[in-house]
Amino acid sequence: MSENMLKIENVTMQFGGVVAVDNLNLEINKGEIVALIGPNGAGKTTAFNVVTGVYQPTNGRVSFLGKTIVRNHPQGKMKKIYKGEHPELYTGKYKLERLPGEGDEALAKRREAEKERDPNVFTSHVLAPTPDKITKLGMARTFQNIRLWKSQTVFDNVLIAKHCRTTSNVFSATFRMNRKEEAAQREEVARLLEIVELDDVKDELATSLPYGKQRRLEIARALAAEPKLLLLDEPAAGMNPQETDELTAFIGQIRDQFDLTVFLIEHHMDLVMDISDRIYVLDFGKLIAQGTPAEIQNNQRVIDAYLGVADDA
Amino acid sequence: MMKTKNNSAKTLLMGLVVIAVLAVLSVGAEAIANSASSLSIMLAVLKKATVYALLAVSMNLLNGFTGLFSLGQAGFMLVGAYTYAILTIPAAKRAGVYQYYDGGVVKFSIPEVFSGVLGESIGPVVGMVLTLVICGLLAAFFGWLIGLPVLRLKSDYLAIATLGFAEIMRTFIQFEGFAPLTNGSNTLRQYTTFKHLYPYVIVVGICILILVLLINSTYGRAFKAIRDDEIAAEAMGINLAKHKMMSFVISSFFAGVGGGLMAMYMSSVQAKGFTSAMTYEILLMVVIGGIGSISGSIIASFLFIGCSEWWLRFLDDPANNIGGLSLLAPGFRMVVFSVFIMIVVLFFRRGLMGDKEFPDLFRRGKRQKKGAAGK
Repeated sequence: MSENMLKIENVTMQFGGVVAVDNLNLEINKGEIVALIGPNGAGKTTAFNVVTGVYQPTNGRVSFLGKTIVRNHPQGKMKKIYKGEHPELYTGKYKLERLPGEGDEALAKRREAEKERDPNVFTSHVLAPTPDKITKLGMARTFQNIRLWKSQTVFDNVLIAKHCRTTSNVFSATFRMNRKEEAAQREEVARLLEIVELDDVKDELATSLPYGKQRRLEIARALAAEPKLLLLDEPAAGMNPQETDELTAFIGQIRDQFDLTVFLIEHHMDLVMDISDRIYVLDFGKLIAQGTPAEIQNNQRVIDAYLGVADDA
Repeated sequence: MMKTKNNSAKTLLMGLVVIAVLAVLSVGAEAIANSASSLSIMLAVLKKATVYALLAVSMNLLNGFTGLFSLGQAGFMLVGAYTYAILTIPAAKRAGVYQYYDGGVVKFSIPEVFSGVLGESIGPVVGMVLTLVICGLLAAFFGWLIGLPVLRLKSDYLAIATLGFAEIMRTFIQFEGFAPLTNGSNTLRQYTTFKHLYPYVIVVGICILILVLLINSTYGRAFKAIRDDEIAAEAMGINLAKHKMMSFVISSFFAGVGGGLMAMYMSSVQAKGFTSAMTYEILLMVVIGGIGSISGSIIASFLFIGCSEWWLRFLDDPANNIGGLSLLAPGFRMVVFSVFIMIVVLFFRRGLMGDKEFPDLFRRGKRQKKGAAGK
């Protein structure tokens, strides 16, 4: 059994009256490439934003490497308008029901097992770290619409991502007492740029690169933050078939080279079917299918969701 | 491989050399200014511009490098100026300055204390520099205090909130209850000041050098990332709250030091003078010099002060009117000056320097030459 990397449990994200992600459950194991697909507006990016801390979920729990990183339950006004499932699962009201014929000892054992799984399981504990804290735990992402730092060079874009790993404080950094660390970081960035084949443009402005290279740079920047789990939000958006093929090879290559687990959102089915170990399919916020690429390809619900069902059918 | 090498040690050394050279030049400039009475204004202009250079750079750290549009500069300067004045009035002169408040509550003067310990020659200087540091620390403390609630705000809202802070500080200091400390709405005067130009240049030079080093450090790069794209910065592990606060506090520190120097230059301070117009002047320097360019801010502050105080003076003198025109009159220089500013903004959309630094100008030239040679 491989090690569990990311686990999303009962995550619901509701904006006002709109349920964007509805009771999502998914699991990613170490070393896997897992894709999340679905029609436009299915809630894929919202799910990403919940995992990376951009949004605080309305309900549910996210754990990373066996530790709970995000946890919430409907609060305040949301208590009344909450439309999702399990509104009390992550509050103090959650109790273990005695199974028929179960003794006290067995129940206590189950309680212990639950506590093992989540130390705050019987409380209303809320965990909502900011995105930077989650990144520091070992998760890095790219964005659907490229978000590079526009006034910075390619080299600096990657170097800045190393900032979250610096140990020097603002005084030692200002007065250059961290010279060793800085030099080591620059060395690493130079090596990283060589691996992603951007070392020839490292002094160019990030925005002056062609589109495909900007995508590559964004991945390189995420890699610089030294993640264990890499989240790619539509990495092939706007790419032509040849660029997409290159990207497919590239993702496989970095997964092996950096010992990564990859979680990606993508619309290019060729890419998804090519590299994914497993696929999850979202539609209107709900998980409608999961499985290997072959299973997904032949799943009638997935085909319906993507192509639509004829009215007279 | 040029950029992958970290040449920060060189920056530090270069900076110190530049400061030393400027200090020597300022001694020369002072001698020239004292040689003719018509040039006496030059000394005042240079002093004022030097102080404004620090203020503009400290504002640029916030507005230009971290992307926080703050207009609280005058408030932090006020804190610095008052701290400096209160702590350096000689004990013997306090009765005269605080004439309505029994000589005030502070009965000592830091430069005097130090001259008692370290001797008459270096004691006062050490005391004055130390007081400037205290000015900065106190302003930084206020920056931290204001930053806690205010830094959650974005762009214009942040500007309004910080502007409000500056106005509150101004009223607060004039409050009668604090009068034994701040002398209420009366002026503070007769405190110890730097007599010559070069100490200003050295203090400001060192402060700006520290800011340059900060901006080129990993923290400075993080500030720029926040300016360019906050969401991406946060996603790449930069703690927004912490870094914004850091930038705000550091900027207030140097605004406080600048305020202390301002008090020295003016040789009397009154809270009434630290209006929001002062902040706008500094903002104008930052914009004219180029948002995100330190050398731009420095150049702009010298041009700005030079124009507004010195080179355009002749426009104010009715005696200079030619041919019966009565165009030139007191205040006319400000009209011409405003036109100047408009022209600069029209032709240099991103300020005189854009986001380039002075050495970049030569560097780009070099690269072009290399490219041409390659062809």
